[in-house]
Amino acid sequence: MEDKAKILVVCGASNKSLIETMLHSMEYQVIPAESGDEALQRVEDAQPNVVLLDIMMPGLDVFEVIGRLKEDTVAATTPIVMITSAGDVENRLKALEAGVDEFLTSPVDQVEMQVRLNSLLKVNAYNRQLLVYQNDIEAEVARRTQELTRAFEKIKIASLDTVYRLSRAAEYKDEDTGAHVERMSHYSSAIARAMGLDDEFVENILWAAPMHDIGKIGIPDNVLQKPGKLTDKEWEIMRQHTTIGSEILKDADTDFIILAQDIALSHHEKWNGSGYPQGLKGTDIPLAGRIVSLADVFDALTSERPYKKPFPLEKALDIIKEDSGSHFDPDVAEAFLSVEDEIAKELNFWKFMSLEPDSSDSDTDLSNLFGD
Amino acid sequence: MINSVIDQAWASMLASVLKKRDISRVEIGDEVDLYIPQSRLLSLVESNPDIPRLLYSSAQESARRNAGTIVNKLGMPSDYFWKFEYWPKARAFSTLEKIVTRIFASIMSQAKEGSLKITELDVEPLRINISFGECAECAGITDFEYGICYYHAGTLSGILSSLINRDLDSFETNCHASGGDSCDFTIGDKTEEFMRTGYETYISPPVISADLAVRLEKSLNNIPVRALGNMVDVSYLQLAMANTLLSDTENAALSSYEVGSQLGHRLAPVLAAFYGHEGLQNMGDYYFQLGVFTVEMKGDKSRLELNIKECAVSAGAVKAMEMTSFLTGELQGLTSELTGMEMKLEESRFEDDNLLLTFVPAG
Repeated sequence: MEDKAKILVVCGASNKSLIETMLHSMEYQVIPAESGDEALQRVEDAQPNVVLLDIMMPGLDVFEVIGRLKEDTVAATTPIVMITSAGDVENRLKALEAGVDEFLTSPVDQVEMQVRLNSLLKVNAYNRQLLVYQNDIEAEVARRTQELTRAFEKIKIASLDTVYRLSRAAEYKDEDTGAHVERMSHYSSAIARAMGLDDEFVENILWAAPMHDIGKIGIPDNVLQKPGKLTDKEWEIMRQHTTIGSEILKDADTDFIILAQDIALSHHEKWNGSGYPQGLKGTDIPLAGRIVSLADVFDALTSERPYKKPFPLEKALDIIKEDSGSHFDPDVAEAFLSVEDEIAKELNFWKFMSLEPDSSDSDTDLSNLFGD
Repeated sequence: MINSVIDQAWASMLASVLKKRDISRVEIGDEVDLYIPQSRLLSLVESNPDIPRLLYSSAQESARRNAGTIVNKLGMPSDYFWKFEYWPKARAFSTLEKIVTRIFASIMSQAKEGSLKITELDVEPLRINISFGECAECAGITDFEYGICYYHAGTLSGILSSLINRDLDSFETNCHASGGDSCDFTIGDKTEEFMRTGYETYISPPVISADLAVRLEKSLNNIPVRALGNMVDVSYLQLAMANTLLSDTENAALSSYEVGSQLGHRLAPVLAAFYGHEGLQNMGDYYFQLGVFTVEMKGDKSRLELNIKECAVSAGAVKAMEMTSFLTGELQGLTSELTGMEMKLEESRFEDDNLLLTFVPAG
């Protein structure tokens, strides 16, 4: 039964039993529909090989049925045969325009019907094969595109991971932990998001920000790790970490390393032009540098250093407010302060993560975790 | 309502890690013997072959929701695990391990639920192997040839699904209950064939039947069943019980009552043998010894009123009568055996924090 070609038939009362009997005798599987509406309902499930429509069909107008069949991706490739009376040229022309493939003249001749159906079944088989082939090709293209995207992302993140580890190595040279780069990169992405910058920039700054101090690799340990105050000469050496970082990262061809070079060079510039190494002012400082500058300072303020306790959040925020327009880009500071709650929660998260599991450090304010 | 119980229990466990939790049971403390959650879960699983799947799904769903809430409350940056699927293996492992260890292993350790550790991770295909030692769900049980920790299988996959924002499933590859040193879980993408097969086999066990009397004797005699000791935080009991009730709560509560009642009937002779006397006193001694509640009894077998204080299934939690269904069933079975006549529950209600139950002869 399954191997028989399926013919969906909608006929007027006068033709119905004759046509169906003929089709049965020709060993086709007949799918009868009582009206145009039913034909449209059945076509999706039954997936006929040919649709046979009588111009005198009950229910919907035959041309509307043809039009709706042609809107459906699968049904559109199914040949349609229409039964009309001899000499009905006007309707035949209209039907051809609507997409009918063949005509039979009423009363229908069995031999003619068989010849025409056989020919259309070959067309249908070919169409179906084409459709399957097209779907296979589309699926293959989608699969390969996905694989390529995946491969690209993996290469990008693998290279990023290497650079990220190098950045942490630089941090280890002057701090007892490399966690600073992790924290400040997330502060940077939070600011970028609050400024409404696009996802690509947000992602790039998240990955590029950790490289801001990579130039410290080139600073001698006796300067970098000097416990006391630096002399003017030593400060001069220390400031070179920006240009050394830029040198390390220059001539890259990936977006996030290009951004990282901007950041490494400009994250100590100040909005009023009093920063280093170039003394850039205002928007001459690359945007990423302005963002990372604030994130870097905020993390330094809220972190413990050998020479200071971490500042409470409120005090750190006050400093950011005070320095907006002098040290920091006012727009960057405003964006940062607009996500103050998010930053406060992140700050708690880093504190929580740095505590030993059994610690009940009373200096760590975790009380706001149950605020909502 | 049951979701509120679950969310509150998770919040309570987190509060405990952050040293921000007040004790809710000042008289008997906030721990309950492991036998209590174990006997309940195993009795329910034994009574209905669909329970493993229901328990797993509920635990997974509620753990996923609460893990999300917890990391959000703790302030984990929203982009912390951004594009995790592309991460290099070593970094994926160390970052995920750091979060799981610091947050979720701490929570489970504090609750004495078990000792959670990520042992291995592959990114493509995603495969996370977890070792869960000292497992509260099966410690002291040795009757099985396969894993039985459905609550934890669901919970662990729910936590990781939430962290890396993927639909994961898990199955147990090793279990204390089948002679393992730890309960080990493999977690991966739920659409993957390997995971689907592993999960389906795991979640449809052949027969679940444990000798609870043997297990109970260990607890009554204070025989340690694990290095962490025989007690577990009440929040764990509440979570485990609530997750058996999450799907189709009304019917689940009715079944819980029935299964509890059967367990209560079986419990009476064990208690009589252990305490060496008969009557209702056994009941009070038993629940107090295992940290379930303290009770004042009034009346006699024609009308028995129980004023239950510091009840483990409701202490510090949203008061949902469904949560008490297994316990009230168990008490019905137990009072029937101990009074020598079939009793029925006439009334149950909360009054402040106390659970008031009245049993009368069934006839």
